[in-house]
Formats: sequence, structure tokens, C-alpha cells
Amino acid sequence: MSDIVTVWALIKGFHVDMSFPLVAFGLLLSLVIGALPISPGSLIVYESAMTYFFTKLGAPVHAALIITLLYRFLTFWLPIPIGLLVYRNLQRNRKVQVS
Amino acid sequence: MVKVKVKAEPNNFFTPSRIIFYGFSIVVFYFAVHYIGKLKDIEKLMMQMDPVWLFLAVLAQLFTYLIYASIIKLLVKDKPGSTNFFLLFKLSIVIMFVNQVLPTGGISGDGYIFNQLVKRKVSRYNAFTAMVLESISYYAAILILLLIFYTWYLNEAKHDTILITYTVILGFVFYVLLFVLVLIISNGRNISFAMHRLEKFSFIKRLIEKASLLSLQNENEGTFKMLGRKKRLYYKPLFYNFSLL
Repeated sequence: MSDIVTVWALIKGFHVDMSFPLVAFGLLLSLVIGALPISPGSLIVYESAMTYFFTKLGAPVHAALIITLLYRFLTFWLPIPIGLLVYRNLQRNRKVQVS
Repeated sequence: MVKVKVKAEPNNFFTPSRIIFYGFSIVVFYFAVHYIGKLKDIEKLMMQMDPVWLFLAVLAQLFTYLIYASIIKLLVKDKPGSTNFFLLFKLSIVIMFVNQVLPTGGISGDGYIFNQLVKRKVSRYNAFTAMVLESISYYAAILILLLIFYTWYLNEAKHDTILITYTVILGFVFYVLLFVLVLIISNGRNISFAMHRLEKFSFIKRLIEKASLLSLQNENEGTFKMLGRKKRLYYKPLFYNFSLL
């Protein structure tokens, strides 16, 4: 439920009236499209799909777009620099252990 | 007194893996610059957001990494090698990022974490079994949630759009295929068959030997048999994956 809660909190933060199951369904539909190996990181594809589905499920277009961008920031862009740093840290620790 | 022997490493700035890493970093940087440009355009709208809800969103994301680390901890707990929860937490951050960058339904991230677990003295069999169980429980969780919420949507929604129905069908087909694929490749005989086929390609053969994957064909008993013996192994990861999504 963590991912769903993330989107639900963003939706509540923008005072959009959407029920929790509707948010969950919108995110699951976006996950389906995002899981398809279409582009690296499903860039553009994921954003388009999520904005489309949330608009179809009742969110205003501008709110759906900004919620999508914020969600992607938290789940995709933010973990990239952190993930790269952690990756380098894991590699370095491994080399120290080997030597 | 313990002597620490430090190996003198050759200058390997231009190995194939590093070149891929540099290339990927440039691509990510390019997209990040464009993305930040978009964020600036919507800065005013962001300011309207209640900080409490933003904090909750960030906290929920942090929980996804904690839950993923818990799943792996649970699955390798019998023989954990040199892993600990903090290490698994760090690995979960890296593999979430790998899964996002290479969207293959979680298979790309599983490959990375398998290597990392093996490097940290978790047996290949245990690491492989953990990856198989994690994958199938994740696919099962998505399929179950998709079924529940689509049924709810059909009952509650005032009007259906054909694209939503097609996406749900696509989701079912895609995740059922992945589910079946993971079950097939988890069988020892199938691993053996695939390894011998892939050995024809010298590059892949080197990779297989490097990762010592051939030992899996003898050690692995197949997911069906394993689940038959240890049913509880499956329920907990499934529950955790519900929490993750």
C-alpha cells in the first residue's frame, strides 16, 4: 500500500476529491503501462499513462499532471542520485572486503 | 596484528561496464535537466500543497524500501550469509532504481540483487529461491489487486472507457506471462536446458561461468516442489508485497 499511499497523499495535498480505491486503481493501471519495456525508465510513457488514467478517473488535468510529476520525482528521479551513491558505496565496501 | 593486503589495481577507467555507466549517467543527467525544467514551471502549484501530505508521501516512499528489504530478509533468513538489514535496505534502493531504469517487470533488479547476495556469501540456491519467491509474490499481488480494484471500478464507475479495460487485460496477460516464465525458469531441468543453449554464445558463456550459474541446475528443486514443502514461505512475501504496492 506504500506506493498507493504516496499518490493518495499527493492527491489529498492538492485537495483533489478522489477515493482511495480509485487512486489505487489509477496507479495500478499506470504500473501496467510502466512495466512494459517501451523506453528506458518508461520515460514519457509512464507520465502520459498516469496523467491520462487519473484524468479519466476524475482528477482535473492540471492536478493529474502535477501529481504525476511529483510521484515520478519521488519514485524515479530522487532514487537515481541516491541509488548511484549507494551503488558506489556498495562497490567500494565490497572491494575493501575482498582485499 | 592483522595485515591487510591491498591489491594494486590497474587503471580501468575505460572498461565496458564503466563506459556503459558513464553513458547511462549522461543520459540520466540530460533527462534530469529537462525534468527539473518542468518542475520549475509548476513550482507555484507545488507551493499550494499542504506540507503534511507531502511529508506523508515521502514517508510512504521510504516504507517501500523498508518493506522490500524486509521481504529479502525474510526470504534469506535461514542462511543469511554476510547480509544485514541495513545492507538489504541499501540494496533495495539500488534495485528499485535498476527496475525503474530497465522496466522488465522486476527481472532486471532481481538479477542485480542475486549477484549482490551471492557476493555476500548467501548460497546461490538460497539467493535464487529468494528471487523467485519475491518475483512470483509481487506478480501475484499485482494480479490480485488489479482484479479487486477493477471489479470495484466496474461496480462503482458511472462510465467505463475501453482503454481502461484493454489496459487491465494487458496487465493480466503481461503479469501472468511473467509469473509463468519465472516458474518455468525456476525448474532445475529448464535451467540446465537454457544454460546449454546459451553456452553457444561465447560472451554469454563467460558470464554464466563468472556467475557460476551452472551450479543452479543441480541445486534447484523447482518452485512447485519447494512451495509444496514450505507453503508459509509464500504467504508472508505476498502479504509484504501487498504493503509495498
